[in-house]
Amino acid sequence: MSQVRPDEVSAILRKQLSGFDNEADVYDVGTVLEVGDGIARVYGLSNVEAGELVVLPDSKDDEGTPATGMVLNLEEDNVGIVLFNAANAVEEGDVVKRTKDIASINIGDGVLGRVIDPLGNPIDGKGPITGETIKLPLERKAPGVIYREPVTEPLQTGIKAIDALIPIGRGQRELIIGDRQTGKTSVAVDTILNQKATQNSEKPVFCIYVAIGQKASTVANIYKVLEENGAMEYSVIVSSPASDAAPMQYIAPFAGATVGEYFRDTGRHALVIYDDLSKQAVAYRELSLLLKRPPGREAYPGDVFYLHSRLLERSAKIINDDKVARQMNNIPETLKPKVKGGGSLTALPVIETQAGDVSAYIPTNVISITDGQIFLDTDLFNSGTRPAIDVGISVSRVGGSAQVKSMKKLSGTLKLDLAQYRELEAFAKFGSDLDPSTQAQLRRGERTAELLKQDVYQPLPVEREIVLLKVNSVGLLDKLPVAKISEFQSQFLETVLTKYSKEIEELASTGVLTDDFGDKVISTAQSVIDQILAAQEA
Amino acid sequence: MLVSKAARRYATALLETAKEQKVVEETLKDILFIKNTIDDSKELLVFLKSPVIKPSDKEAALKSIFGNKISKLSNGFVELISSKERASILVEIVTAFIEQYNEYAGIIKIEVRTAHALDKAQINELKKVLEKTTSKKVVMDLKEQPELKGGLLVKIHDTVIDGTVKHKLEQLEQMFLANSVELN
Repeated sequence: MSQVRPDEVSAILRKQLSGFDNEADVYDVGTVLEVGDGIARVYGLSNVEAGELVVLPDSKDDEGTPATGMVLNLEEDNVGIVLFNAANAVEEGDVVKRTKDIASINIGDGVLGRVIDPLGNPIDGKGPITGETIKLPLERKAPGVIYREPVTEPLQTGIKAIDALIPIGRGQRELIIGDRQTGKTSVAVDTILNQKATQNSEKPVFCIYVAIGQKASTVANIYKVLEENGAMEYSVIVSSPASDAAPMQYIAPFAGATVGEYFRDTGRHALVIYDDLSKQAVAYRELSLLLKRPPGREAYPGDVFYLHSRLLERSAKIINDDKVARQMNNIPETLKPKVKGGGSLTALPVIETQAGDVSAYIPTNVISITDGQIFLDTDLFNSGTRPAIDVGISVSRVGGSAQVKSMKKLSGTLKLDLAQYRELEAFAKFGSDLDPSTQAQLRRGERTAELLKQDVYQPLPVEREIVLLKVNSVGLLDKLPVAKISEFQSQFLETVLTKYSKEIEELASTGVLTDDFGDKVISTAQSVIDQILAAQEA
Repeated sequence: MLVSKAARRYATALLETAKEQKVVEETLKDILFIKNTIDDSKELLVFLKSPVIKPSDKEAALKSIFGNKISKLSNGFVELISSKERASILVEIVTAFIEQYNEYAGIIKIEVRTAHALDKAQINELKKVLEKTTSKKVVMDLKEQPELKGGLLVKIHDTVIDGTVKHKLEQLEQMFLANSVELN
C-alpha cells in the first residue's frame, strides 16, 4: 500500500474528531436470559426484525471482537438468536444491541479471486476486498415471472456426457446427486474450469463455489486446483467449513446466492455451486431443534423444503430488457442504479445420498425443486466409468432448448445407443452366440461408453466434443479395440486442431457443423484409426 | 424479569377485580407490601419456590404473614393462589401486577444513568423533558455509574438514548479501527 503522509493522517483524524459531537445515540437493547449450544434467548429487543443482526458488545472472544448473532425466533416474551461467533463468551444478563441491519454482505467485482466467509469477510489473508462494494441482503425474494426468460443459452460443463446427454442452460438449476466418493465435487470443479473459455467472449460466466460443512483441507485443495488452472480470476469461494458454527453453515448458500445475484442483476452471467445442501439442511435442523421448533420427518423442521426452494428459486435467467429488468421486485436500493437485463444465475446444488437412497427426505425435496439431476453411481465409479454418470436416470428438463444445434443432432441417437447397450450388457458374455445386430449394438455401446469417459480437471471445449461424437455417430470407432479409444481421442483431436484450426474456430463460434467439415472430420478420423490399427499389427 | 403467561393472567384478574371494586390504590399498596416483604426475605422466596414444601403449609404461612395486614380482596387473592398451587410464582404475579398498574395509571419507569449525581434542578428538568416526550407520568430510576465518565444515558423500555462520554469514546475507537490505514 502507498505511503501515507503524516499530515494526511492528522487530517483524517481531525475530520473524524469533528464528528465527536454532542448528539446522543439512540439504540434498542435486550438482555440475555439464557444461552447454550450457540443459541441465546433474549428479553427485550421488542422492535427487532426477523433475520436482523444483533451485537453483544460485552461478550468478546479472545481477540476482542464482540459476539454477533442473527434473530431467528420472535416469540411472545422472548427473542431467539443464533450466535455466529464467541458463543462461549456470552453470559446471562449480557446486553444485546440491535444493528437495524438485516444480515447482509458487501459485494463488488473485487471479490473475484477471493475466499470469503458467509458474512463477506475475506479469509484468505489477502487483506480487505478492494474496489467499490455494495451492501446486499443475504435473504432476498426471487425475481417474479415477468422478469424472467426461458433458458436459451448453453452453459458448457466441458464434460462430454453432460453436454451431450444432460445439457445445462444458463439460469437452470441442475442437481448433482450421488453417494460419497462418486465425483460430485469433480463435476462441479470441472464446470468451473471450463468457464475459462468464456472469459474472452462477450458473455463470460463468473463462478461461485460455496463450501458448506466440508473439511478445510478440501476447500484449500479446491482453491489450489482453481488457482493452478487460472480459474480463480473469475471465481469466488464462499467457505463455511465443518468447524464453523451451524448458523454460519446455514447462511453460507444464501451468501453464495447473493454474490451470484450481484452478477445476475448487473446483466452478467454467473454459476453458483452449493457443495453440499445436505450439510446445510443438517445445520438448519440443528438450529431448529435447539430453537425448539417442532421436528418433522427425519427430525428436519417443517420449513426445510422452503429453505431449499427459496434458495434455488433465486437462480434465474433475467429478461433481456433493461427497462423491465429495472422494475424487478425486491432490488436493494444500493443495487438499483446498476441493474441491467439479460443476466443469469445458474445453480448446481450438490446432494449427498446415503447408500444410493434417493428417496430420503432431502434428496426428494431437492430433486423436485431443480430442473433435473445428474446422478452419479458408486458401481459405475468403481467399474472405471468416470465421470460415473448414470445416463439412464439423469435428466435435464430445460437444457435441451439451450443446446448447441449440431450437438443436439448428434446426442439424439447417443442416449438410445447407451440405453440399449445397458439393457443388453448382461448378455455380453455370450459373445459370438448372439445375432449380428445385437453384437453390433453391444460393440457400439461399449465404445460410446468408453468415449464418454473423461479424466478429472480436463474439460473439453464444446467444438471438440462435437467432432468426437460425430466420429462415433457414423460408427467409425466400431473397428477400434476399446482399449485404443483414448489413444485415438488424443491423436485425432491433435490432428484436427492442427489441420483444420479455422473450421474448428468457426464451429466454436456458430455451433454448426457444416456437411463439408463433417466429411473432413470423418476422413481424418479414418486415417487416424488406420494408423493406430497398423501400429497394432506391426 | 421474564414474567410467565400464568402470572400475567393472575395479575390481570386481580387488577380488573380491583378496578371493579374501586380499590385499585389499596390493592397496589398491598401488592407493594408483599413485594417488599419477599424482597427483604430470601428465606420466604426460597420457601415459596420450594417444590418440597406442601401447598397447605405455604398457604398457612402466607396467611400468618399477610393475614391481618392486607385488605380483604388481597387476602382472598393470596388464598386463591395458594389453593391453585401457584404460590411459587407469587413474585412474578406481583411484578406483572405492578407493570399492569403502571400502564393503567399512565406511569412509565425510566432508567437514568449518570457519571455524577444530578442535583435537584437537573432532575426536575430531566423529568419535565421526559414527561413531555413520553406524555406519561415518569418515575425515574436514578443511578450513578462513574465508568460512564460524563453525559447521561436514558433507557425507556428497550430503547436507549446514549449520550455518555464512554459510548462516544467507544464509537470513536470503532471508527478509527474501521478506517485504519496500513503504513508502508
